[in-house]
Amino acid sequence: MCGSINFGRMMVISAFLRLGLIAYGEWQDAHMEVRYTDIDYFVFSDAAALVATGKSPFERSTYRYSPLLAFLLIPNLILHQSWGKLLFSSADLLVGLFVDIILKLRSVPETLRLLSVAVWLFNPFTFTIGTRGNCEPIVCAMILWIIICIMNGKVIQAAFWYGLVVHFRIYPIIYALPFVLVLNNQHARPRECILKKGSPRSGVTDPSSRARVVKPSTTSWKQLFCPWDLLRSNITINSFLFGLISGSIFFFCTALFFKLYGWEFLNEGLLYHLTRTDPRHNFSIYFYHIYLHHQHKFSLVEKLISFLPQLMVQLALIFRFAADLPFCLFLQTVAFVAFNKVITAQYFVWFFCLLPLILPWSSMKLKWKGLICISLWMGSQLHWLLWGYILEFKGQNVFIQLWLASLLFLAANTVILLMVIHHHKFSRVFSPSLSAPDSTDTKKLD
Amino acid sequence: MLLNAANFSSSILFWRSKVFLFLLWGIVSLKVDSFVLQNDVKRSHPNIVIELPCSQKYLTGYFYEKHGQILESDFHGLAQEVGSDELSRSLVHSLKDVFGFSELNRHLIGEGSHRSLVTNFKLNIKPNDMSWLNNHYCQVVVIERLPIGVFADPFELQHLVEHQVFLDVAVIGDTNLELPSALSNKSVVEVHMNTTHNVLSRQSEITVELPLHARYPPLDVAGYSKIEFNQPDLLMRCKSQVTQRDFCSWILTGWSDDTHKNGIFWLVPCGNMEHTTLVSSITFISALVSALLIVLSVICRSTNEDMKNS
Repeated sequence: MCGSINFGRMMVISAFLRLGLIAYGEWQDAHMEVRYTDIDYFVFSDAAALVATGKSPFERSTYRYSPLLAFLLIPNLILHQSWGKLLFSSADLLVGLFVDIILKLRSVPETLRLLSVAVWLFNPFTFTIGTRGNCEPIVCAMILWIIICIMNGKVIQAAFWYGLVVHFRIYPIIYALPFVLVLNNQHARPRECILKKGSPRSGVTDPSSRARVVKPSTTSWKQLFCPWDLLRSNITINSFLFGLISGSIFFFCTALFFKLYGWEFLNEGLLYHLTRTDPRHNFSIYFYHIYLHHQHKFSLVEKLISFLPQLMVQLALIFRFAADLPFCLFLQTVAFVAFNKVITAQYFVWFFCLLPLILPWSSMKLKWKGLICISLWMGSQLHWLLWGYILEFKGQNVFIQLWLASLLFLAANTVILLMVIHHHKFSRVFSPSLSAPDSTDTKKLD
Repeated sequence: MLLNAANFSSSILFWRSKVFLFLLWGIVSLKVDSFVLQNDVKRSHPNIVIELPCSQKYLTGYFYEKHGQILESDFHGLAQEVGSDELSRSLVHSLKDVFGFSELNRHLIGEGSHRSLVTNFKLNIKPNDMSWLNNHYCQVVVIERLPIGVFADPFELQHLVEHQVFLDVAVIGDTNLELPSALSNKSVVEVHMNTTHNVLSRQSEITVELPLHARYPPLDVAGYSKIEFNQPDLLMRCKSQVTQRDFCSWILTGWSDDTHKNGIFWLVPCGNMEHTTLVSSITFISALVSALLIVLSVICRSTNEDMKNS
């Protein structure tokens, strides 16, 4: 039925699409007033130029990334100015490949797998982000590779990449606890992990294996209320190694760049992201509150109150869903972005790369619940963008309307989170017992 | 009798026309002689010449490096500070009324937070002194002191230099693009433009279009914050093509910024502090409610699973 479309062909088409967009971007930059390339790309290139002459990349104002990125983009000066875009688009394609690998590891039938990969490769949001010169695809590729390593039992490699990705972008630190919990719930030595077949959308699970399986929910909740048990049962050799190695890599990178570039690196590359309170308008519900208070300092109480919802949601999601790792990470990322103090459009890529990993287990059909979710999310965004346009480009005072639009966006995100949770068929990545793998491979009928 | 009357009236006409012509000549010559008629009236100081080594590309940059502050209108003070020698004193004298600026017009184009400040003016050159100008290479310098509420993006301006819209440009002072007005400092933009004085035109029109962006203003009940622009300073920067001296003369010809005609205002929307309590409380409540909903659904889901399993 869909024999003519296979994974290889999809990758080739995606590659050509991205190459075409990069070429078009070069043309638009040269011939039109509004540039195709993101302003951040010029920041990276300038920083790379500085680094090539031995200076600090932080001399370029608004460069707030790891110096590694500037090093990666040095060929921008030697080869061609689009080297960075090619690199990011390749990372983009790698994400597609990794999605395919992960879904294969979880025995997802081919059609469903291809559809899920297409959700990433042909999503207009994602292919423009790499071709415009945004570095997020690299982070996404690293995170998916970490998931693959964990699924294959390569704990040390996973830890190495995790330390690196947290150095690159701080937000993956929210994944620390689920990774540790998953590595513990295996109760198995490295390289002896058994993958429980996901049985997507079959609705029937093997009753015998279920009986052997320790109920995840009650165990996790009990562990939540018994800290000593938590510590005792959760520090296995895997999680210890993971924590040790990733922590060491992170501190090594931090120390190295601190030695090279001093406090500028710490302030711009690290602390900026942790203490960022940008009063300018963005999707976050907190922007108007921050603007109204920007002439005074924020009290400790205020900071804690704004952190509380985020913390509650993250902990609840982790302790309930950690065993179904990609699902947990997806929900965590959506919630993290929605409750964050600053939301910019590039943050959405962080969960777009995890979306294909959960689609096969969702009982939500495209008609009509899927379409409702998509239109709700995009509609509330467009509504916000409309008010943002009026404020910024027409100069009218619409702060209240814009703030209400951001509240609406949070509401939309919440509704979508609830619907996704409700329609998901929870399936653990590892089964805690050393039973033989489930040989029934139920095919999903579309 | 008739002939006499005709003679008399024609002679009156003749004299009337003569008087008229004389007056016309007088007016024209007056206008020609002091083409900066408008400015002459408002001139508050004589010509000022500041001599700096040509390696100093920007006058405002030089001042900022020396004093750590933005250059205000005290060019006289700066000239005295730089000091003058015989050569520059004679230069001041010889430069009297060589050229001048007139008909300064300014307006803002665009809407919203990103607009362009357009400055139009005329550069007038006295015909007798064309030889002086032919021995010197000159640029027009516009020094724009930006009010706190707006900023110029140095990278955008560099882009314009690359496209040869300006000869050169520098932004001195606070170039942080992200901070709101309350946390920002002043900045100044110095734009260098080419002149066309080499062509035998005594008057050339120059237009400077400067793209500017508004910062987030301090809070106000009115809902809009008013940003006022001052008059710019117009100078000429000339380098001698004849002598070996590696000195460039910055020449100010008495353009005074005391006038407040051409007052330009930019209204920027700002937050209303009366909203603070309402906005903060509703924001936190919404965040809390959404978080609780998610946590509840997670708990319900897990209790359902327990019930299914048991």
